[in-house]
Amino acid sequence: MNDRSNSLGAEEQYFSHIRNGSFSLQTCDACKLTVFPPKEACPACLEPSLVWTPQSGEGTVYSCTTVHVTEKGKDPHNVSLINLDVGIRMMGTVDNRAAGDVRIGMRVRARIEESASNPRVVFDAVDGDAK
Amino acid sequence: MSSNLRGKIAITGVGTAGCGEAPGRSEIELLGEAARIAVADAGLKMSDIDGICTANLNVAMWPLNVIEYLGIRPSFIEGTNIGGSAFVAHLMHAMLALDAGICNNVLVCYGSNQRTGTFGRRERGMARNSLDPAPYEAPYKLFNPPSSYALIAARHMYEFGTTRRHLAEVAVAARRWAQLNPEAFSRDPLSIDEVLAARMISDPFTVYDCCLVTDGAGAFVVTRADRAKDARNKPVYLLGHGTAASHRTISCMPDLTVTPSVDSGKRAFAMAGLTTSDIDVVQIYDAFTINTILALEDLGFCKKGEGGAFVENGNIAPGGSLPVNTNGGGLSCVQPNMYGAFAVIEAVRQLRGSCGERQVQSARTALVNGNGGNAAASQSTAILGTEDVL
Repeated sequence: MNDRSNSLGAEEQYFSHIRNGSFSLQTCDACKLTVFPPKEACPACLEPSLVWTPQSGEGTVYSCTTVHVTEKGKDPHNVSLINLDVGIRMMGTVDNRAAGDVRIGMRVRARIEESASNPRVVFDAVDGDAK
Repeated sequence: MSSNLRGKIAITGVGTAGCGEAPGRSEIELLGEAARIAVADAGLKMSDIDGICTANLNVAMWPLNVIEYLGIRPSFIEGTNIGGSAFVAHLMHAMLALDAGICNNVLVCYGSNQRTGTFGRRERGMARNSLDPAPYEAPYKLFNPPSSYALIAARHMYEFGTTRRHLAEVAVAARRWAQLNPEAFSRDPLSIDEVLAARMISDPFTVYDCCLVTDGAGAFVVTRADRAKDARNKPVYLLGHGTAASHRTISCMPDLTVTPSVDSGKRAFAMAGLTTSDIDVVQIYDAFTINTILALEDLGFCKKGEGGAFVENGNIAPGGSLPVNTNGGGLSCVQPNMYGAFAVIEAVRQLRGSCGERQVQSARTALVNGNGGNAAASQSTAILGTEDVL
């Protein structure tokens, strides 16, 4: 375990992937569960066999709010909870719709939003509602 | 759950201080005044206090600050902090310590100057976000706590057809109770239409769906039932209790429409040997209007999804079928960042029959439901009663 990159914690590795342009989540080699938030071992089977796996990031808006208390000069923005099809829920924002037009049940796909200081995962609405 | 702790302890003293605005006074000073009033109300001296339960959102070792300030030497020291429900949760810890004979008189106390303090709510929020970051949420710039509860409310509306008008009913009911309480901070008339038309904070919440931001301190004294008989005031007994928690951040709340009150309430009712129909008055930690609806459902006062309909037509307001938040709650009475102690104090005052115009006639049982942690994360339920229901 002298390789410094292997000693990074799961949180740092998650954001490191994002900085490198990849939305990756841990999947458990033993029980195949997709894990989020990142952990040091699988929360279901407790095996420390989590593998970073690039994601297509398709999912459905589980809930959403338009935040009206914003930094000076900024418009209200959307915050959503997204149920990814791989079985995890994460916070995000639906980026390609006006905040007030985001709806629960919308189908979305993840994308890395490039930013010098804070790259992050955002979502774009795609055609069709959840079945 | 074993119910051999039912009725083993009683609240014998309550006190508040600086509720509303208390400019120029520190948190520990406000706490000190409330503590002094509560101890005197229990007919005790500060030197009789040998157990302490307290929490504060800014100070890591707060029980030590309180012990030093009050000049006490407690044998039971409790600083559990699970958010604003902590002071309801402390009742169970006090109960265990008292029943085990570790101590005789436990003081539960809280104080905050978040409204007028020079290191105010905004600065504290920023400091806390640095010390306790939510790395998977922070990039999305929530305005917390409102945004987390707004996500809950939006999902509740989607699943059950709850409306913004239902939420507004909760705010208006709280205000109508506050109008009967001379100690309440916000007592101006408030209509459903005014709630709906007010400044939006985080959709679906307007400013009136969000609790107040006030200063204030609250304290109460808990003792064993055998010692409570000599108290100056009518003792209020702890009949049942439960605490539950499942997450810290809203992203990790398993089902946004179901709070851990489902578990805390079940445990509390089981210990008390009571059901919802036995409860005369209810104090719910109403950080946001949706909290009241969630708690009524999760505690079993109505079915899941029917909380909106339950609060319609003033049903929890003065004159309604179930008196809820008779002091005006955190929405209209007082909310110094952590409200749990104030919900307990109002329940005690109702069971003592000392609530004046807002008194619920012949109230013998009260339920207190604490909420904590930015996202309905922790819930603590206490069922209190007079001697008649022991």
